[in-house]
Amino acid sequence: MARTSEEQLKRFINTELDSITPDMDEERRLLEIHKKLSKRSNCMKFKKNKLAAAFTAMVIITVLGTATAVAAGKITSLVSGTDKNVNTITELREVSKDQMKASPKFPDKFSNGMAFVKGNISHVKGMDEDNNQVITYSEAYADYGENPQVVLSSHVHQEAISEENQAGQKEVYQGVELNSAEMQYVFLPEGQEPSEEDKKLQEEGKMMISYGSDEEERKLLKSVNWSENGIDYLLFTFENVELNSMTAMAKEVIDMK
Amino acid sequence: MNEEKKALVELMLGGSEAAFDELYRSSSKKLYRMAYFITGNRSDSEDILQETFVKCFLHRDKLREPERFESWLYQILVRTAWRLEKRKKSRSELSFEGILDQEEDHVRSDWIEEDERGKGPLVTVLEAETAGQIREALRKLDVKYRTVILLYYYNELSTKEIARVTGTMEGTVKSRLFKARKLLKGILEMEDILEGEQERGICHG
Repeated sequence: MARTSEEQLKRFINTELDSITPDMDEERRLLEIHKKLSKRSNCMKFKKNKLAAAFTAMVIITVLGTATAVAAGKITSLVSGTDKNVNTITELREVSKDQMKASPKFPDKFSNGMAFVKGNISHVKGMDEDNNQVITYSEAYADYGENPQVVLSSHVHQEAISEENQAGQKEVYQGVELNSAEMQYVFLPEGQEPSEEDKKLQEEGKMMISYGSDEEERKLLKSVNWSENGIDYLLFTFENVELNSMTAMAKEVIDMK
Repeated sequence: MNEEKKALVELMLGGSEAAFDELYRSSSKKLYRMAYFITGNRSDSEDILQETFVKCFLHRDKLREPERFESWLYQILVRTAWRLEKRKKSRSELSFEGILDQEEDHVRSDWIEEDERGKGPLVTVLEAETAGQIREALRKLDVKYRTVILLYYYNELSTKEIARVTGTMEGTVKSRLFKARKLLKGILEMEDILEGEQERGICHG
């Protein structure tokens, strides 16, 4: 094409497009975007870090499934975003101390050989059903083993999202109550309708349905949680790690001074 | 990309919502126009724009090089728009609400304004007619061809960059660009002939 034609075409397209003005106000649209982000951040967490997503989603089940806790804080969802990634356990301890104003226990390595790989600090917002922020707190994550195999997370105890009657096996160790549980997870692509069977399992509290994966995936989440010195801990995995091993790992954390 | 923008992108990648908001404000108009060029529909463009920014923040960990932020954003927008077009096509919905048609009067006046900068009235009329023809030709182009034209002429990306944004082979991009230009070439060359004739006094009215 002749150079003049090229320039004309470019000029034409630029003139056409520069004359187009959106109908919606820029700031109003930004608010809409933030609302959508809040709603879909759990899907985001799945894409970003399946294990961390599991944690967030599980807390949501806790919140939604426990009437007493909901009444206290009126929190219906939790939204979290990563503030800082760290590559050493020392850094994680320092950042946790700084942002959580507490010193959660994170071992360098467990006796089964799983060692610290990386960690991060996230900020979590507890939202009510109108999407208003009710509480906010920091949460520390530590990944152990390859993939990673197991994640240990902790945050300062939040009464508004505490659960009084948790499902699962209970055991008291060194005066600390450990709660172990398994939960089926199904991750669906956005827009895919869950099967009737899955919907029923979710209603019964036996399954969590999350959206945002590229294809349908089914996983079994195994977790152990406990509270010690005002800090809530959660150890969880989607990998092939037995619940007994998870409980043993939790005990090692409790044994730490 | 300047250092200030790069710093904003890095902050956004670290999870800063304030940095995300700033990046949105600096690029939303351009992205809306791009979506409009591809879809020809204001409502769809609005949806695509919002979805692009939602995906941008949700999937920010996928962007490894902050310098590539803009083309990454274009990539999200183009693929979101294509997906929507595909869905509409399968439902046999018409996308173009008259892209550019409702802007026609405005654009025409732009051409006339340019007339004041030294062109004769006949050239202005001819250009306005040509604009209408190009508009019609672009409207008839398949969405993938129209996207290549957009990225090449409006965003000034190279064929290699367009290939990356659209997720196609560079050869496919070149082929689409060649075919789309060929289609538009006839219209513009016709104008060149008329313009040349006017310069030589043949068509002077």
